[in-house]
Amino acid sequence: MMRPTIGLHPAFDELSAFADRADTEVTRSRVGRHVARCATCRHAVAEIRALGEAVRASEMPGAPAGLWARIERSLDNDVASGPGRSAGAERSVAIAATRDAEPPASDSPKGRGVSTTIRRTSLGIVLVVGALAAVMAMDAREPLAAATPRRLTTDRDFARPGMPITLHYRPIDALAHERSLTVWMLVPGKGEMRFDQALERAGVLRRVSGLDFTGTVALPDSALMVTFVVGDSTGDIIDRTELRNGQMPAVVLAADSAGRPRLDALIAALGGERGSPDRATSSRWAAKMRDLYPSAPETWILSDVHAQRSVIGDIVKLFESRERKYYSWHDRLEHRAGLSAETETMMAALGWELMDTTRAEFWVTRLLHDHPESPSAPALWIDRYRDVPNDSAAVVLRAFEPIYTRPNEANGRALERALMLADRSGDSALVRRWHARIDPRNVSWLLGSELPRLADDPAALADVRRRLMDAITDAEGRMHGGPTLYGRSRFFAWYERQRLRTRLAALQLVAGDAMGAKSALDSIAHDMEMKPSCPTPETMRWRAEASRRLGAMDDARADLAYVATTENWQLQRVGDSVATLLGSAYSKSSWNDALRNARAFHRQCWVDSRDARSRAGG
Amino acid sequence: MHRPRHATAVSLADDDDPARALRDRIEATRLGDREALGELFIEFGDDVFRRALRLTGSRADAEDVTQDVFVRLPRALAGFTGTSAMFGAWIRRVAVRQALMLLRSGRRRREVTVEGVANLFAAADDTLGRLTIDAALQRLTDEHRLVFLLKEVEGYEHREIAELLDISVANSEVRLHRARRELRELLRGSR
Repeated sequence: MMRPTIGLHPAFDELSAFADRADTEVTRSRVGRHVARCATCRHAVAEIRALGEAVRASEMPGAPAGLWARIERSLDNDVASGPGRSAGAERSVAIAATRDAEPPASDSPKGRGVSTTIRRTSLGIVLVVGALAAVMAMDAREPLAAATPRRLTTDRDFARPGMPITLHYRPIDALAHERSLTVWMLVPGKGEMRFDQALERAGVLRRVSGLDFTGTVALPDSALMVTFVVGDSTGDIIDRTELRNGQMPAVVLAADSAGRPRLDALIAALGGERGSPDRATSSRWAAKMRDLYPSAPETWILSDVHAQRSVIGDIVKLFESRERKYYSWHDRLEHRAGLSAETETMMAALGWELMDTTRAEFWVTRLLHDHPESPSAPALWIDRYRDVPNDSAAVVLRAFEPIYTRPNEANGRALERALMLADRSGDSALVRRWHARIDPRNVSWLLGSELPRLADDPAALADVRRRLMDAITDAEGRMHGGPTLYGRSRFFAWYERQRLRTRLAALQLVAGDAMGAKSALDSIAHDMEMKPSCPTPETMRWRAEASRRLGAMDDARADLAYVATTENWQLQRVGDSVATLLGSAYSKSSWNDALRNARAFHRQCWVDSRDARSRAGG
Repeated sequence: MHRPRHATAVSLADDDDPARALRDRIEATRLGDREALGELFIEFGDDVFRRALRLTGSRADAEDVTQDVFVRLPRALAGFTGTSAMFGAWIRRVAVRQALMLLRSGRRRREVTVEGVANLFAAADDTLGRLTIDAALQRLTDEHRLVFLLKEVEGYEHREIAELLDISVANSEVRLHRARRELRELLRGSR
């Protein structure tokens, strides 16, 4: 883009571009000819060139003294698992795996077809399946994916309760100015790491040098594994660097009196379906498990799941190999008494995963017999019936009644399956019975088939309203609760509260109070815009309905357009019935205008919401 | 706090022939020799760190980048096919790419550390109220600072910068001009 410069100095950009050229070009260009005659511009060009020279000449500090030590520590962590480990290390792991940890492999593939082995079930029940998928996914990653340096390190991976554990921490910038930092810990129940579980205070780190903090903490008495993260004293800032990079934060497992990790701690750590540890960490634990507990069946299974596989190019081979191992484990364990619930659960889950129905059913039956209290058993039991014909669903559910004993975390999956069967059965009494077992806080079914029933049943309406109020109170508690591993848990508690408020307003509408419902929904939408966050389509859908009942068709049209322009294709279908909903207030041009405005609104609220997150540190 | 030991890896090589010594160190590192990697860190660690520090503007990030470069080096060397004379330029380019990756990944925190702020003011004090060029650089936006450093310090052409930053050549040129203008104004304004 040339600008006329007759009688004028060239623009700064032109001088800057000129400064990059060799002096020999001076006379060849218009700018060059001007610079040759103009002392001011010659000075400007000299200044521009001096900027680069000044930066090149400026002294920068070299690598800090402790950096090599940190690199070495990182390399040490990487040795047990990373692609860069030595061939010797790889051999020793492989030998340990075949010689000590596993029973002899049977050579009886029993003619199982490849297609059946590849077929994945949607079990997702416990332990092995998720971890196996995680291992396979990691194997597919590019080979140069290296370990990211950790900011928080512990002086031991295993500790007895009460034993001091020294932590070293190099802070993120947001925490670098603090004099002392708080160590927060997550003590999961039964080894399941829940990202929305409140963190507890574990201790304090003090600054020992410019960017290094240190301090000691201890494992609580009953803990099998503890995850440590560092933050400020309020928990408003928590360093989640590792989690963002797909690594586990610092984890310490419970040790026995000799300082060795306990078997139950290793099972908890490796078997936890949620929060599966990263590959390097899990491989280290698996290697330890093979070394210390080679004859435990849990070791055979878990150490195989978490074993290092340098190359898995062929998933079929992986499954065939797993089948052979599974058969051999089954043959060895079938008649052994006193197996743990974990072992039997894993054998059942593996059986389903490998589509070995006979063995899977054997282990489910055995689990129900040996460990009827096992939270995994109901889900394992009902999963085999998820594909039964609709007219058999009621029979399955009747058989399931005595097995489904209590609502708990694991039974949520079993209940989900049961609800699907109940819905398919067409038996309204069955539907009602199973829906009533849903966690009172979960009212997602409220907008479905139950809504017409509530409109005609004041007692049921009052009951649901009370449960919604309780759930809102609960969400409000979590909005102001302690920190969690999941960075946005407070936001989602707020979001859940807004959804619950929306349903409360929906109940108001169903009960005939359109004015009150509209007012409540206006307030919810306003709160969301002020957050800033995009209002939920559900809120807008109900507000459209309230407006429609109040005869405010312009408002109804705008809100329906908002719903129709969400990314959810099912919600977009509201557009198909808009002519019916708006009646005489519908016209093609006004609907198109509303859609255009709604898209612009979506874009703006998305940008506002993203900017707000960015300002809050992501 | 200790630096890597000097001895063993060097014994692989002929001290009288630096090029051969370096070649041997590279080969030994490729095979997983920790001592050889330590030798490479002694030779190139400062250089890598300084480049990362300039580009990221944060000591903590520069340490992360340097650590990433050296932890990955044994594996990354599989992709190095040049002679030992080209190794210095190669590892510097690796450092630049690693720093850019970190900046792009969002892992980096944009907050200025207390140390960084202190340095900024200390630098200003030292020069009687004038900003140093490094302090002024830190006041530029990432996109301007990166182009300026890649062009002026690393010696990349606009075509290469465009490729590295996934922008057009014209955009790279414009960013460079703007960076220079801002720097000039910052430095003039602080006089």
